[in-house]
Parts: sequence; C-alpha cells; structure tokens
Amino acid sequence: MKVNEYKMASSIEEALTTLATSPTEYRMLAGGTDVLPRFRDNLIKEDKILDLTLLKAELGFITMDETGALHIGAMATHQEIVENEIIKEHFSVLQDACRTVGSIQIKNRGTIGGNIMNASPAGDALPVLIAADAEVILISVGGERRMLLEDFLLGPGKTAIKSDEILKEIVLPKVYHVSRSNVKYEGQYRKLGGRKALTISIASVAVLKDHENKIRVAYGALSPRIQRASAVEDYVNSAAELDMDSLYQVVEKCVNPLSDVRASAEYRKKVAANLTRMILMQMRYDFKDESGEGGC
Amino acid sequence: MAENKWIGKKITRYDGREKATGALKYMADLEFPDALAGKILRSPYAHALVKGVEIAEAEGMLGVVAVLTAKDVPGLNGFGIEGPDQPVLCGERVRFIGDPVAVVFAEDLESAENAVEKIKVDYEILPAILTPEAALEEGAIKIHEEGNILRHHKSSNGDVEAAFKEAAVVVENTYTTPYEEHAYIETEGGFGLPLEDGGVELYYPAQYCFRDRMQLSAVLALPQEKIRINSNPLGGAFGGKDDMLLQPILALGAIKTGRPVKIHLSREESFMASTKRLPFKLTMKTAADKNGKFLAHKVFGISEAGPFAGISGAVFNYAFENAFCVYKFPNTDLEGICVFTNNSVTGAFRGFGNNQMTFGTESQVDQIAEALGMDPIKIRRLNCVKGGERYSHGHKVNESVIGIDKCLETMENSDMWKQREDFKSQTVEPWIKRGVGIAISQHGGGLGNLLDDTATAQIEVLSSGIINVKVSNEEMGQGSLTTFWLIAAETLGVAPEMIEISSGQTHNAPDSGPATASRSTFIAGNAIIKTAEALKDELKVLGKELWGTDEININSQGIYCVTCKTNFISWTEISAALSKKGIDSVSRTVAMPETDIKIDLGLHFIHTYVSQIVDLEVNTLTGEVTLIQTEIFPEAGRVINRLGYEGQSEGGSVMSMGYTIMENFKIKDGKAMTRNLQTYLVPTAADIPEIKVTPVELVEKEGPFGAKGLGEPASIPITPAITNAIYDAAGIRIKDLPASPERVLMELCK
Repeated sequence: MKVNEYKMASSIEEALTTLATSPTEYRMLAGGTDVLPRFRDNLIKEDKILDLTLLKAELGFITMDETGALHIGAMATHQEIVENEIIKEHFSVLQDACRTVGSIQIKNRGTIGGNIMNASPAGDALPVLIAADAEVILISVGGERRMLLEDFLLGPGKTAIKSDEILKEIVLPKVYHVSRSNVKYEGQYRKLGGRKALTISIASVAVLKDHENKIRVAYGALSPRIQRASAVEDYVNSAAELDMDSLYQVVEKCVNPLSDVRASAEYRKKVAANLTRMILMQMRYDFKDESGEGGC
Repeated sequence: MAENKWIGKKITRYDGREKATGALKYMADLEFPDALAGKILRSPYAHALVKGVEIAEAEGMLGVVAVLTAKDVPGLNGFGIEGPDQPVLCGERVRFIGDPVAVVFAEDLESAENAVEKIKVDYEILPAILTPEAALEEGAIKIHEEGNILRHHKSSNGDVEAAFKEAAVVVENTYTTPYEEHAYIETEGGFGLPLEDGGVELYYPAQYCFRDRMQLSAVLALPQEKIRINSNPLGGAFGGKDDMLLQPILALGAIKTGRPVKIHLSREESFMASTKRLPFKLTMKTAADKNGKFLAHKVFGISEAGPFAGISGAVFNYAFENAFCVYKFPNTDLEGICVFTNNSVTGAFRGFGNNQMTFGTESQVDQIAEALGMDPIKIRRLNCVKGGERYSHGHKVNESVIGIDKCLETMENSDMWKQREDFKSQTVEPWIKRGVGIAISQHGGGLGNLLDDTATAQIEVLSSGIINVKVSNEEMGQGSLTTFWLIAAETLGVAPEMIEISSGQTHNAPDSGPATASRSTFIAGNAIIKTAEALKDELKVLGKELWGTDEININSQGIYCVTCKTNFISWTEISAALSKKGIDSVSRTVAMPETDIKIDLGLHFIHTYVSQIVDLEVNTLTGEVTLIQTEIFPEAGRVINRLGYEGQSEGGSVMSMGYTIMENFKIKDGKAMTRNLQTYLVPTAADIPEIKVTPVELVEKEGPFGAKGLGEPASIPITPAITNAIYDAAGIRIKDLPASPERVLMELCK
C-alpha cells in the first residue's frame, strides 16, 4: 500500500487524540525496523502512518517501583535495555534476549514496544517476557487498561489492541532475581538461528526460576502464539527425576511449529526439547539418562 | 633473491582511502542529468511461450518515454560467453522465472514501475524441467533446439574395476552441493549513455569489458568502435559479473531514447536474475592398497547449467579437470553430464566448479585414511603428485608442483596440527564436541588450454610526470590495482605514488583479458613487467642519445646518467622527450604458459596449492557448527602484497565457510524460496573464526616476481576441512551441503 498520510505525534495525548478522531486506522511507527521493510514488501494494509518517535520522552523510561516490579516504557530500545543497570541487576535474562535482536543498528532503533506490537512468533524479547508473566499497559483517551502479554498476543501479527489505543508500557512483576551474576542458574534465554548474529530465530526458549523455585518456560518461533509451556513447567516442577523421553513428549505438546525456508517442523520440535534440556542442565537439573551429549 | 623495495611488504591498498571513506563512486552512485529510470518486466513462469506482448497502455502512461521488447533489439537477440542463447528480451520463449520480456524507461522509477504492471504478456505455459534427471528423461521437452545436454564428458585411464577388486579399501559415496548466490554488496546497476556518433557508452560493473563490447556489437548491430565500456570499479563480483546481465538492456535504452538510462537492481531482482554456483551431484568410488597408496578414483557427476550455456560448461569442465585433486591415481574413470533446466541461471563463482569436486575427493581421502588407520596428512603426502611427475590426466605441470607436498609438510609442522589433541580435550559442556579437520586443493590459474589466454599492458608517461599503467582487468575488491601498482613501481624503480592505474575502460586500456580465473596477478602482472621493461629500454636509448652513455639509471625523479650526475631529465619532461622520438606509449603482450598435452577439459599448467586446518565445535543438541580457528597455508608463489594476500586468504575462507555450513539456496518449481538476504544467510563478523595465514612461499619462475594467483584457490580447501572436522568431532559424515544445524542434528539422529 502506498502511504497517503504521514503524521508525527509530539505527545501521547496528541497520538491518542489522533487515533480517537480518525475514521480509518493508522500504522504505528516506532523504531521502524519491522514496519519499513514491510512497507517496502507491500505487506502493510494501512495507508497512513503515525510516527511515535517523539513519544520517546514520555515512554522511554525503565524504572523499578516500590514493590520491586520493573516498568519498561514501550519506546525503550533493545540497546537501552541491554545497557540498563536496573535490568542488569534484577532481570538480566531480558538483556540476553534483547542482545540477540538483529544488529547493533537495529537494537539502537528497534523498541521493546515494537517487538510486542509486531507480534511475530519469532520476536526475540517475547518468550522471556511471557515466561515472566509480563503485563502490558494500553492507553487510549478513555484511560488505561492492563492485561497479560500472553493474552494480548493473539497470533502472527495479531494483538488485542483496539484502534484507539497505543501500547504504553510493560510491567514485570517481582518474582525473579535474575542478576547478571546468577543468570546462568536462575533464568536463561537461548536463541537458535541460522548464524550467530543478525538472524531470525529458528527456535528460542526462555526458562526462568521464580521466587518459589518453580520453573517457567516459553518458546519462540515454535507456535503461532507464544504462551507459557505449562506442560513442560508442570513436568519439570513435579517430576522426581527428569528424563529426556518424557521431556521430549511434554515439549511436543507445547509446540506446534511450521516447516518453512528456515527449518523443518521436525527439527524445530527436536531442538525445542534439546534447548530446554541444555538450559535445565546448566541450571543444575539432573537427567537420569545419558551424559547430556545426545539429542535425538 | 634481490631485496625488493615494494613487493612482499604490507602496503595499504591503492584504492583503500577512497573505499574506506566512502568517497569512491560505484556505477549506480554516478549521476547523469536527465537520466531515465528503467524497470524490467520479468517472467513469472519457469518455462513458457511468449505469444504476444501488449505495451500500448504502458506506453501511454505518464512519464513513460519508451517501452522496449524483443522487437526493438536491432541485432542478434542473444548473448552468452559460450554462445548467444540467452535473449536480451524474450520474444518467443521464457526459460526461467526472471527472464526479461520487456523494459520500461520513464522519467522516474515509480512511473516505470507503474507502467511495467500495465504490460500484458500472453504466455503459453510449457512443462518446466526442474531437476537434472528430468532433463535427461526420454521425451523431455527441449529447453534449446539442440536438446538438454550442454556437456557430456567421459574419460578413463587404466582399469578401475580391476583396481577395486584388488584394493584393501574401497570407499563409495554420493555428495551433493547446492546453488550458491554471490551476494556481493553491490547489486547489478549502472548507466547507458547515447553518444553523438550513434554509439553508446556504458558505466556498468563487469569483469571483462572487451568481451562485453564484442557481444554488444552483435546485439546492437553496431561496430565495436562505437561502443565504449567503463566496467571498473565493482562492489564485489566473485564470478557473478563475468557474463553480461543488464548491459544490453542499458545500451538499447540509451540508443532508443537518446537519453542516459539507469537501472539498479533490488536485492530480490539480483537474486532472481543473476548467476549462481552450479549445484552438483557427485558419486565417487575411490580405492587404496593396504599401505594407503591410491589405486583408483571413479567419478560420476551430474550438474545443471540452468536455462543457458553461459560459462557453465567451462565451470563443469573445470570441476572434472580437478577431479583428482592433487593426487596421482593410476586408474581413473570420469563421467559427467551437465544439462539445461528451468531453474536459476548458473555461471562462474569463485573456485569455478573446483570447490564442489574437491569437497567430494577430499572427503573420500579422509575416509580411506580412517579405514586404514592412517594419519590424514601422511596419506596425502604419500599420494600427492611430486616434482617431475605427470598429473593423473597425463599432462605435465610446472616445477612448482613441489608446492603440494610443501603445503602438507608446513601444515604437518604447524602448532595447530601438533596441538590438535589439546584443542579437542578442552571442552566443558558435554554436548559440545570438538574436532580438527584438514584438506588440500589445487587450482589452475588462467583460462585453460581450450582458450587463447593473453594479456596486453600499456604504459604512458603523462606530461604531469604521472606514469599511467593500463590494463583491462577490473578491480572488484580483490586488490588487483594494488598488485599492478606495486609490480609497476618495483619494475620501473619508482615510488608507487608516481603510478596511476587505468583499468576496465575499452577506450583507455588495452585488452588484458578478463578479471577472472585467478589470472590477473599472474598474466597482467607479467604484461606490466614486460611493458615496464620496454619503457625502461626506451628511456635508456633516450639517455644514450642525449648523453652518449649506457650508464643510465631510473628513479622517482626521472632518468639520469650515472657517471655524470648533472645530466638529468625529470618525469615531467620525459613525456615530451619521448613524443619527439614518436613514442606516445609502450605496449607489450604476454601469453599464459600451456601444458604439453590437451584434452577436452582444458588443462592448466600453473597451479596454486592451498592446505588448511580447521578447529571447530559441534553442538550435539542443536547441530550448530562453530569454527574456532583455522590456519590456511597457500602456496601461491611469492607474496606481492602481504595485506592483499591475507585479505584474499581470509575472504576466501569466510566465503566458503558460509557455503559449507550456512548458505542454503532453496528453489522450488523453478522459484527461489530464498529470495533475499533475510532468508539466504551469509556469514557475519560474529561467525568468523580466528584465521591465521601462513604463506608457503616458493618462487614461481614463470610468475611476476615469483607470484601466482590466489583469489579462487583460497576458497577451496576449507569446505572439506570443515566436514572432515565435523566427522572428527561428532562421528558424522556430511555428504550434502550445507552442514546447517538442521542437517547436522538430523545426521546425529540417524
């Protein structure tokens, strides 16, 4: 679609008023790292752009409240998250996820809000956020509403946003302590791509340990919708002893991958289980079978 | 060896500053006032008849200046290095998805793109040939009138079957290799300009301006003198800009519209229309006696050229010329078939068929060594061609054949090889397995015996005192301008700063052949030396006429009489002094040395040898292969410029590392599934291992300052070195490239 209208909002208020009074929908532009290539490939149905760049002043924050919950403004970039000291100290697994986004240039432009709104099943920040029960705050002229990110993401490119809303912030409840120094044991994100950098995920997995020492798991690029892998969580949290066959079976219940030009569904399933096992072993969970070498 | 002033040192590139600062203008960066934008309409079908092309609506659209179809081609509607079987614009038939049918030139690109959508083409869809096997089926539709077979080679020596019976070990395998996209940063693009005399001038990145001019002369029905081509510089080529692509369309546009025209392909269009590396399926059967001495090597190979001959037949031949790698096999049997299909167009790609073949042969050699419990380097040293021996094809090559064993010996004595067990033992996680692999390759320089291979250089001393050295060989990133610069400076005995190189201009440089075949350093270098020596001779004659002595010396200031130091002519005066004698420039031609016998594969006399070690890790849970370090040992004669030499060695290694573990060009029903760099992954800096370059410097007597070519050779041994290392690490033999995480994990699960 050709762009017929381009508007740059200078404040949240202006953006919301614009949305509330527009008879047709705008395509929101934050960092542009997904929107611009999609425009070029004619994959965007809207013909109007609302540029949110100037909302950075209001929505670029990263803070921690008195309850210990983290608040990340939708316009915070991946690179800002990677470099942020609060996140480094309290939820550094998110830094590991954001570090795997594209290139330095893309991390400098791309925002966490954009990663969510793009709603790609392969979105690099999403499995960690969903495993952590992150919530999103949506705002319109009528006020704010808050919901679980897991419920907000409905499928590839689909979210529960309304046409007069924008994504304001992401809230991470205080149930983890994943600092830079203990990240290996308390929570991990692992992305598998076709190369070491600048690549779209073939499969990814986030495994977190909450304050009750319970495991939480979410997979990326393995299902149309990213959701908590509750069967895997239940198995790991309740089994007396872990074994690979059982893990493989529960992982298979939680994923529903595609075969595409990047990888086959069969490979994605195998690797989902293997990555889970790899992380669990690094988090000092023992498997009764094998030495940890095999992966079939 | 006499001490050289410039040769063998680390010298910053001739074009380094301009490239590093972005000042250098590539062709599509140029600007010409009033230039029209061109957009090509391409076939959406792999194979179809063109029953009609309706252009009236497009012609009438705003901003459109011309809509051209096959009817507008004044001369021969075809081109191709081997023969003109590729239409400039298809008027009768399309043979691949992307074949051009029409082109619109308009005031701006948007108008051209809009108009292209209004062209109506009436296609009658034909059955498409989508696999090499289908091309050979009885009754298969013929892609060209002469049939679907481009090459069928058969040759043998001795009795392989008898050798297989008596052998202690026989290894038989089938290997497959995929298409590979060059993925140069600069997609194809440039300008066509009308000339006042009815001729045309092109600014377009290409690897051989003179051959393009010859082909364009036939297409345009214009004498060659009316066609001027500027083909230098290129933003990467790797063989992918060897044959023409947009040149005829740009020339046609300029002539028909009378205005400058520009086309610059998007990445998707470049992927669609440009050539790819030939895919191969190779079945190899190799035998050795109980001592590891090779007895026989039998190869059956099938490959596809895509829809046109291009230069694919020569690539195919070259693969089979290298079927024996560096080894002596007493019994041999080769058969290969290269066919036309309606898949992607194929052509030259760094290594020219040798990568595919050497992957197979060097995998076979490792398996024989393992079966006999032999060391992989020792079995190679035992069987390689030694000094004075003939190659397995029966021909004699030059003396530097001793470089093969020297490469193996140097690798055997390297720290990386000696410390391989240490490297392998240093793993922490149980799912990380480490392995070490080696391989060796040879690569002939030059066009081979089937073609005349000569080069002419020209040197002109300008009135500014600048010494202008002219050759046609283009600079495509490989560093040839720096090489020519240093060779000229060293030969003349002047500072490199005094020398300016002209290349890739049909009207301003002589024909020194294509910038291909790892030939530029060798043959253009030799031509420059011969021409520079001739200039020195002229200058000495000049000095003698002026000062009556033979004791004439040349330096950066000019020429002077050694005994009477007051007599001196500066370089700014030399031009006029030579002109007075009727000399405006000096020019000389050299030829590539040839082999004593010739066969239909086109043999080479001069070879570069390269051995390589790879240390890597295999993740047995994900199938990921991570290269940790590699050391490459090229025997490419003497080093001309250490920086360029290392650059080619590192670049070749990384490029083929991508081919081996990552690049996965997928094509379905004639359509590329990997249509751009989002899905067709090439290595990034994060994927690159530590690379050590250790030159094995033998003096090549025939070469310029003892040098040989290195551009392609550096890209060959790493592929089997990687797959041999994967076997060493994880016990799986990768026979189908690429060794992607998926393939590796699936092999582990077998």
